[in-house]
Amino acid sequence: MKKYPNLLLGILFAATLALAALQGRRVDHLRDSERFYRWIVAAAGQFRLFGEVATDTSPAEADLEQPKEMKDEALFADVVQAIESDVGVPEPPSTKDDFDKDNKPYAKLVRVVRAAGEAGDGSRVFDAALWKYASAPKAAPQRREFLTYLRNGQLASLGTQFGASDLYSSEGSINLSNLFFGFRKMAANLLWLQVEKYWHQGMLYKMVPIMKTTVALDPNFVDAYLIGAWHLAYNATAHMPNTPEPLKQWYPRYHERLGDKELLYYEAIDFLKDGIYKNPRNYKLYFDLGYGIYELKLKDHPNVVKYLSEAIRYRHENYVRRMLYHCLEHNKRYEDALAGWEKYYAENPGTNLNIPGFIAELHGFIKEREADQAEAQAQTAENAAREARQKSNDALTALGSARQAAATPEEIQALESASSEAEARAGEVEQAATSARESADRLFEEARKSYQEIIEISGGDQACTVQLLKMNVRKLVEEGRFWEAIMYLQHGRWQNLTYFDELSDLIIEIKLKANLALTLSERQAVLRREEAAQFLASVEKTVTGLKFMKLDGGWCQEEYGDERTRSISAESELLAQLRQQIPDLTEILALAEPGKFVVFQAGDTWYKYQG
Amino acid sequence: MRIVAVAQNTLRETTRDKVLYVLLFFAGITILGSKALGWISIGQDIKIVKDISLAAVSVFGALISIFVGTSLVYKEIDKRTVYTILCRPLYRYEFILGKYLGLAVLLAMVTGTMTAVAAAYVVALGGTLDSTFFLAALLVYWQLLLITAFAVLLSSLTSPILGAIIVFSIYVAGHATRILIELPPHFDDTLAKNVLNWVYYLVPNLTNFDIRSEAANDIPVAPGYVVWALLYGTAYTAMILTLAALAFEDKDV
Repeated sequence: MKKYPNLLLGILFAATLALAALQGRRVDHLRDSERFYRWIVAAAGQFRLFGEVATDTSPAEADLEQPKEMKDEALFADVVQAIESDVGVPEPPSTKDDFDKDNKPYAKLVRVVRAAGEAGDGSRVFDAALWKYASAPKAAPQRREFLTYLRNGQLASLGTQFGASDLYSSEGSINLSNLFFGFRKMAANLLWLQVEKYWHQGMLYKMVPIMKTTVALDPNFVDAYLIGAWHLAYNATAHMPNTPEPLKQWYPRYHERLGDKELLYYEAIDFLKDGIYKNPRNYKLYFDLGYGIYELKLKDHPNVVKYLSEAIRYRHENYVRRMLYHCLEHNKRYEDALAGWEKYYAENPGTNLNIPGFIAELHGFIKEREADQAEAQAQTAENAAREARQKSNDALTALGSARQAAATPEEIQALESASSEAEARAGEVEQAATSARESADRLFEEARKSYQEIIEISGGDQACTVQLLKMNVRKLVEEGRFWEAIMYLQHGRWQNLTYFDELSDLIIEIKLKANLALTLSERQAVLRREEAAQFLASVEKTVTGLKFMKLDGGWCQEEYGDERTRSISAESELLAQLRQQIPDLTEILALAEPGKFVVFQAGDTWYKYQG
Repeated sequence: MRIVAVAQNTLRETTRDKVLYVLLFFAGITILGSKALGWISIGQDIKIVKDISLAAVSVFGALISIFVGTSLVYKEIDKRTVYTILCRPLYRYEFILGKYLGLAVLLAMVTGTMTAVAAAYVVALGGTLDSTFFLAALLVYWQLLLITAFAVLLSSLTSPILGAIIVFSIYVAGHATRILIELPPHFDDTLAKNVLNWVYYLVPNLTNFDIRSEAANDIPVAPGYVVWALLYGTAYTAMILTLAALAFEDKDV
């Protein structure tokens, strides 16, 4: 050191530089592996939830002349295959959740991700086996592919629609993260403050793009997704009337006819789904999507149950489970809701919630359903009894006629025998019908009593009060006491405002059935329904068994969901080939009037024919 | 022992620097004032307080290391006090290391204090903290050590103002090094791309020390990441300090 200080320092410099560069590579490898791992988790979750890896692109991307080809499915298939044979990733314990709707087991990757997510700390720690795979040298080809697609914005399952790549040219010349020198998330916070400002100023048109930029800058800003979706679905729509059917448009992307107001609900859904793609193990996003939008805004109960069931897979607050059980009840899955409440009560015996009341209510619903089933059986049996009695009467009439006509003793004997058989059969069936009716009445009474008890214990449970009211009304209608039934409903709807619309609809139904005069507002409601039905008939066409929906520029097959289309014209050679493939193609093409188009599917490809 | 003596003196000297207290004052204001931004952002207080606190630790820590570090050696040369030190039995590299360690201890105290204040503030506001928050603060400190090494290097080569400008530029550029490898597709298979790839691994990437987002959003970091980032920082710091020692060895003092 004393003799050659510079030489030694020079060697030290070179050695530390080499070491630093190598460690830099290692750190980069960890960062890349982490991204890859997060994508695997997101894609596997989407596969289980939606049956496929999300490949939706943004509307802006879809409108491009040559939209990017998304690579999610191909890459996911590669990773699934790699993990299937990887003994380093252990088989998770199988549960019913490991089977799809056709009862086929999911791929090992999907099962592993599910099990890891449900483990106590699934959303807070890395799953060791999956991380080992994602960071291993053997996964290098898939990791490389992933990074290339990520850079090119070809992974929709990562939420490309609101990704940073949308903010810059498709050439991807600058990575957004580099522009903020490590303070990207701070920029997201400041932008979020702008969203608040615009909200208070009522500038929704300025709010939405800033919200999207905020989450592009900080994809883990979960509250930005939650509050953003709330703004879209609730605040922005608060003063908007429901769109009348003729003013709605068909949106292939959502497979729905929507007006301005309803479109905002679906934009909120898109926003939350984007959050789910980026934060697949955060229960809040699933909860807000399921309960906040699907339940409270769209009344889409199957989707509510789907997303709330997913929410409770991850670390969650107790209220999520409670809402799930309520929604299972709305979905008429009483047994599942009952099992859930019983489990919840066993785990939280000290709760101050009226869970015994919910359980009793569900028992009441189950009894009512049994009563309904028994009622249906009783009606079938009574119809059968009527038919059997008719047959018996016919047999007697035939016997009487034969006697008058002085038929042969053999003929009379045969008719006597047939008549007594019919009489015996009628007696049997009538007895069965009586027994079915008694059983139905007993169950009906039991259900009524059960509701009455709950109402008494709870001091006026609204759900049970309305159920009881509906049961009483049904009985009155069966007895032809229509006005009494209507009076009950009139009173009941003002006492139970949550059910006002439902009970009002019931009043209209009874009045129409009994041919009673409607009030002006009821008449208006009926006219609106008729107008909607009439209009819907004009914007839907069924050709060769396929349903087509009217768009501004033409018609599209109902199943079309903004996928890429292949253009064909009358002169196209492809058209001749398609005619061989689809015998009724001429009828479908006839939908394309001059200047209009028709979108239809042949095989896996969507075609757009311009008339 | 000689290094420790220099370090102790440096610590004593830097704690008397008024710039340090001015910057600490502003850091405190920023951390405590972060709640104000939380107020005007519905339901976001804790996340914003965590974000801003860690950013304040990083930014004000960097400013302290730049402003204090770039004048560290220069001041000794300028006031000629260095002669009274170097005439003693002390290697020049020991002098540089001692100066660096003194400032590193000061930064540890400053970062530790700011982190403790931020953590206490988050808890007082009803938030929760997990290990990621403290790991993020540790990585911020490691980043400051690297910046300080640059500051010491520049301090032995040039004037404090020029040194501060250069180190600040390194700080900014160090957070944007991915630009070097994320080039547009038309750069594929070009010499420029290969060269820039090499440059990328030679230039310190300061974003490797940034897990502040994970800390603020309570999301986990990859297993082993923090250890590798610490090793990465240690290697680069050692390299820059070696360079500083080399530079000071040849300095005509």
